[in-house]
Amino acid sequence: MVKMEFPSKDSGIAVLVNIDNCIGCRACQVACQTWNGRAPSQTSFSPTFTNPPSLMANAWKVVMFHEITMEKVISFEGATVRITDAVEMVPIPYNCLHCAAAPRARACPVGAIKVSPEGAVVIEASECIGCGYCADACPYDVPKRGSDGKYYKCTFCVDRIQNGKAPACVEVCPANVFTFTSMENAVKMAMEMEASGKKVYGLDVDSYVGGRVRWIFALSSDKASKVFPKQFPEKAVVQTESLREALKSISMPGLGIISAAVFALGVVAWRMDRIRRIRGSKKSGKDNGGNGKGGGGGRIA
Amino acid sequence: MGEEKEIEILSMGARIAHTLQLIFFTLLVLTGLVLLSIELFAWIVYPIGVPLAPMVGLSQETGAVTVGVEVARAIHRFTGPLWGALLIVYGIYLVITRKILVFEPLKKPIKQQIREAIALLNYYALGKPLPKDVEEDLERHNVLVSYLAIVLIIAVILVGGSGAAMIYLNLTPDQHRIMLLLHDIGFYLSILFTLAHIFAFTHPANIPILKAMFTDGRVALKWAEKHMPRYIRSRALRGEIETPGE
Repeated sequence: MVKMEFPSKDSGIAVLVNIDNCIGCRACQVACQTWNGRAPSQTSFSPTFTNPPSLMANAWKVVMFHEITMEKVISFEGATVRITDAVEMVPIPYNCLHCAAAPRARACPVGAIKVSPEGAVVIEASECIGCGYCADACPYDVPKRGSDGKYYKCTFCVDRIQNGKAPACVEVCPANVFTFTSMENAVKMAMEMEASGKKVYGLDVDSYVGGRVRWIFALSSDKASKVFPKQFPEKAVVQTESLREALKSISMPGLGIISAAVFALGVVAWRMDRIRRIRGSKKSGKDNGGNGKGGGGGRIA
Repeated sequence: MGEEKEIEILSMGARIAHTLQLIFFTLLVLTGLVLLSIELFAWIVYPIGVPLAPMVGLSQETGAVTVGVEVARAIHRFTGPLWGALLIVYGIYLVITRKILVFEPLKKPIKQQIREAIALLNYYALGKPLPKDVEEDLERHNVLVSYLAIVLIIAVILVGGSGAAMIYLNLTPDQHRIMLLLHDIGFYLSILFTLAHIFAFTHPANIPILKAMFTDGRVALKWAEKHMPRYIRSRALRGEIETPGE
């Protein structure tokens, strides 16, 4: 676990994802794969449109299709038809959420996970040792192990954004789903959407991830109440990892203090032993050895 | 001094096991500390990584720690199973040869154990002499050692079990997370044990045992009669010692 300096959660960049606009074309998924030069992966059939079924080492962005049932009302020439269990498909373009204080960056034992000044959380593949601590620490199940043993995930297209461009997925979207902007602006827009009745994920999440993520999702509330619980964890925290961090913050200084105390006690014990020996030898007029085989003047094993 | 009677209190098996433990455990602790807290312990692996980083195409500036940690992790994962195997073999040896003496003090009534523990703590921490009855009733190991042995066993089960699971089992992410937490808890417990153990074996009272551990396992009989009288009496009763206490 590494101590890291993260940019403030109110500064840097962010993407607001207006899911209601998404048509599920997967252009973002393909653009991500192409821009980042990721090889195609063999996938397996699943009974949904989501393909591959989850993020992979070579698929950093996947459109997750959620099937939900909703009540629909159709009005036609004065007649109203109410359909109770209409199947609705909600696509969510999903990738690393780039937590404001990424726990996986704290968990990396070699500091291979860097956080750019803009807030992009990036795994430096050449430094990754494949320990998987990042995957353990991530509450969103994002980092994935590649065939080379290293872990991979979305880089926020840090190479593009640092050259004044939007991430590849953002740029290619034909439905204006993504708004790539400053965090300040994204928060403002997200709050406006919230005020207009949409549900927003990412503005106020657990302190484990820094209280906020840089990919903020908005969806009409009737759909969001069914989809968000499937896509995002109820609490953005990995309890075991959180416990490890707490334990470490207590144990490291604690063990240091105990070590110092043990050392001090040892020094005192040796000093007292020496004084006792000197007094003893003065009393008897000669050195009082013979306590053990070749040394040690105390009494107890 | 040359004519002084001696007694073996550490068998060859115990000495070999302890020496191997010292090597394996030190390696595991050093490499484990690096994996647990790189911000504090990167210096341990940095000198290893400096010459190796260019060999794997990384710069010395950015790659030294990375390569060093990778080496540490490899050593940790290689040494761990060896250490586990050693513990199992040594445990079987102790059971077969009926040499598990470390829990003997636990056969004493609880009140007596507590009295002994307090007296020993006062002796070690404050230098107060032991009461006569406590001193005369000391076993091969004292009651503090027994308590520490319990801590050690719990620590070994936690680090060994979780470590083996992480290396050999195909765990789900949630299972892996739990194992990592248990590994940490076991590690902290083992460090507590180690600190107490270091204090005990470097204490001036125990230097003869320390010397015996790394030589022939023998201490002066006179010294042993004073430090573990009950144990010496029981060996004398079994006829293993020619001359019991004076």
